[in-house]
Amino acid sequence: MGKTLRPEHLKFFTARMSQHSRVMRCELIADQNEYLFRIRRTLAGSMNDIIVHLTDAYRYGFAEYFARPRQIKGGSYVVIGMPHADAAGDVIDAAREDHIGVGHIGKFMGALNLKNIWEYMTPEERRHQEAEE
Amino acid sequence: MGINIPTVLTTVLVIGVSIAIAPHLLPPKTDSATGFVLWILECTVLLVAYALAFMPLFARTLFEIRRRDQDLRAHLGMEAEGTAWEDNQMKIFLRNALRDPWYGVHRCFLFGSILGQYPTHDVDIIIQFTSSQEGDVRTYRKRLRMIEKEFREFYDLELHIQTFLSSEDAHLDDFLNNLGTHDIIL
Repeated sequence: MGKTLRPEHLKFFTARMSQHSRVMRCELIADQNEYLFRIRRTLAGSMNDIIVHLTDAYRYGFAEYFARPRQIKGGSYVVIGMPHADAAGDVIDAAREDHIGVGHIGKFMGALNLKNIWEYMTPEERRHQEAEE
Repeated sequence: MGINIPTVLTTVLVIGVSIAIAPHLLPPKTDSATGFVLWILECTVLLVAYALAFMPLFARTLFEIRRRDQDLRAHLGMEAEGTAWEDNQMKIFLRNALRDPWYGVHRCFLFGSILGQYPTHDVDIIIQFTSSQEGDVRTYRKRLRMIEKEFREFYDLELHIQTFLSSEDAHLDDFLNNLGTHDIIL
């Protein structure tokens, strides 16, 4: 955790946000230790603002999740900032129970279309869940 | 950052001397040898005064740099390491700092571009905590911010910390296997 993402990672995230039809504004929240953003969505009223933690973790596991910024609570999202980084499946499930979404930018782009962003699953996650059931 | 009174006074003195000597440094308008010699003497005296005014400022800066370096070495117990300090200063810094149980570090590894001697903007380290409890992990992570700050101030590099719980041995081993090269710090 920290602020070690490269400028191109931040640029990629903000560029994707500015292109999303559900995003009205993407604002950087001043924080000394982490990259935090407030995403204001269109259709305000039915779509809540989202606080996003753009994490620089190589592997987003429970240690990273436990030490997440205090602003990240129900209705927030943890975006994996580096393309080669990943998140442990059990953390994604645990975070979902806390109403917090975890995933790469592509997954977050899909989640932005939902009111309950934590409920969004990638096709792979859905297949995995179906296989378990 | 607070105002350093001696530095401010020295700076004011230097500016004052500069304003005072500037007109005297112009060559004399007389053609006589005596006038020229007097001008040379005047310039020499003024330049010595100028140097004396500057000296405390330089001396103070050098003293501050040296004291800061000595304080940090003493704090981290590095004086005994001798030449190893020069060769492995980052590893020693991290080892000495992280072995304090206050930070809750069970295992620590160094990996990434720093091992390849490539230019880098951060130093990648892996830390496995001694605990798996959420409260402990939050506390330890907060304490590690101090190490990050000290490291940044000393090396002008960011520490990029990847953390694991004490119960995540399998995840950590998997991560290390995928990395290839890594150095054990603790």
